[in-house]
Amino acid sequence: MVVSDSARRPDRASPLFPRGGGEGALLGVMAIMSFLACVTLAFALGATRLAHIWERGLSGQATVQIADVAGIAMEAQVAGAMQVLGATPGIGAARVMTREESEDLLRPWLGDADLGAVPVPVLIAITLDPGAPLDVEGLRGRLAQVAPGATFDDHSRWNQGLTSASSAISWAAYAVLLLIAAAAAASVVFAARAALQAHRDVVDVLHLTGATASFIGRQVQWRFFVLGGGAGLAGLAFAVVFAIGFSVLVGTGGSALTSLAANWDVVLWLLLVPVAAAVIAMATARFTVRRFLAEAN
Amino acid sequence: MIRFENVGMSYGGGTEVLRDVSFELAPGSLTFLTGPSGAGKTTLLKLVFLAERPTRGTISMFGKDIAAMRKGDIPALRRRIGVVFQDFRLLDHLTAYENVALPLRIQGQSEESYRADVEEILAWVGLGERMHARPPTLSGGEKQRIAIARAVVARPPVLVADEPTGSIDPEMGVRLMRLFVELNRLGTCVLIATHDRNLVEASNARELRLFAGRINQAAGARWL
Repeated sequence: MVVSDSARRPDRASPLFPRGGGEGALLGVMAIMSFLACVTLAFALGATRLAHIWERGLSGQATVQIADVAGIAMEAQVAGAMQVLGATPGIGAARVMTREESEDLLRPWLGDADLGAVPVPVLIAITLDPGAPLDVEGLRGRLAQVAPGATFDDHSRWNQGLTSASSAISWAAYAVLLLIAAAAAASVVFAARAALQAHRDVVDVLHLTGATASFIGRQVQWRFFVLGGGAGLAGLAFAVVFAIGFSVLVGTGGSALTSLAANWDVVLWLLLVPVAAAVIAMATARFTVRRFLAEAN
Repeated sequence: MIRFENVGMSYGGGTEVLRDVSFELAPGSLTFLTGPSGAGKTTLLKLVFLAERPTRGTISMFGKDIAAMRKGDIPALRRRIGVVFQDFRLLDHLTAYENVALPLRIQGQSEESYRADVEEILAWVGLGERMHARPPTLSGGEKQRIAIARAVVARPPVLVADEPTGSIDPEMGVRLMRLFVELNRLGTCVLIATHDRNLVEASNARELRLFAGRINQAAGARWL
């Protein structure tokens, strides 16, 4: 059957720059960049979140450790310490841990050895009252009077370390994200310049027909916007598959990562990656076209 | 409308391709630009359709000195000059219809607003039935007519054609000349570069003859 030309009228105007060239390669590169960005962003958010969880857990807790002191009965030290703790503002609750609980805490380091003959210090688990300030130095002084073997630990040393570590990890991850964005932009610059060089004839005809730099830029930038967005979505999809595969591989050990992936706020942040990829591609392409046309004129 | 005064042009600081060229194209005029190969015809046309800037002299278009114009004003000026390139310069990935519609699309017009005009002009050049064919499937004559349709679709006051009959048979050449004459009668200022003497002699139009980069004053054109 012969189909007349008019029967094949396109529904939409064709793009002024033909498709093809290095677009497939750029799509691949941008998809990989987006995948790396998703993984890095998830890592950064995960590190921050875990640090907050640990910090919250630690900052509400404190411990009093009572070691044997010659000449003073352990029971007397514990009773004195509990009395002081009960009378100290800022202490919400205090509980003497059983010998078994204390041994359980030591087991990861000492293994299944019989700890019956080992002098295990008595631990008092304290829940702090967030509504009342605690005078730590005053408490230490009073404890020393009634229980010379007592040591008060508010975990601030651990807290500080965790905060510094999580902060460093987060900043490093955000720096990596910036590098990924810069590399993606550089890829777009090369691809856009290559596309313009390859279609120099089209650029010339558009110019000589009265097209402005903005018009030519628009023809190119929306192509790159779509390409960047598509690559970003592909990268996000790879990242999701990667996260699922990772959690399957590590089994329950990956529960932290899996639980992070299940958090909607993290998912929303990750959805920004395709948007960022599209915007970076579009803005960079626009800038590159402007530069190219300025150099050409 | 277009005025050249002592225009000189050289590429990369080399020997001048055009020297002291002076002439004026009046509104509604039909002018041939002739001369042997290498005389500077294409360079002169490039200056007319603003693809190049002169190295010296003054070019005025529509009453404005182009040297004094801002870069941003050039596209608007180019839209007032339709160009038929020697090698057509059609975009192979677009249909004939889309190629012809290009100047209107560049001007920001919607397809609804220009569809009838484009179809009418394609019918006028005898290609109404081939409007959705792509250039690689068209003959040389058909491509030439698409190029002419693209050059005039936005009704520019000036039409410049570089060797429009160079790659087609004489019969098609005569048909194309009729199109140019008709456009000229409708008020378009037409400048045609050609080395086809038959084309020039069959017309009573004015002739600018270029030789070694200079306008030959013996050619009988109206000089400044």
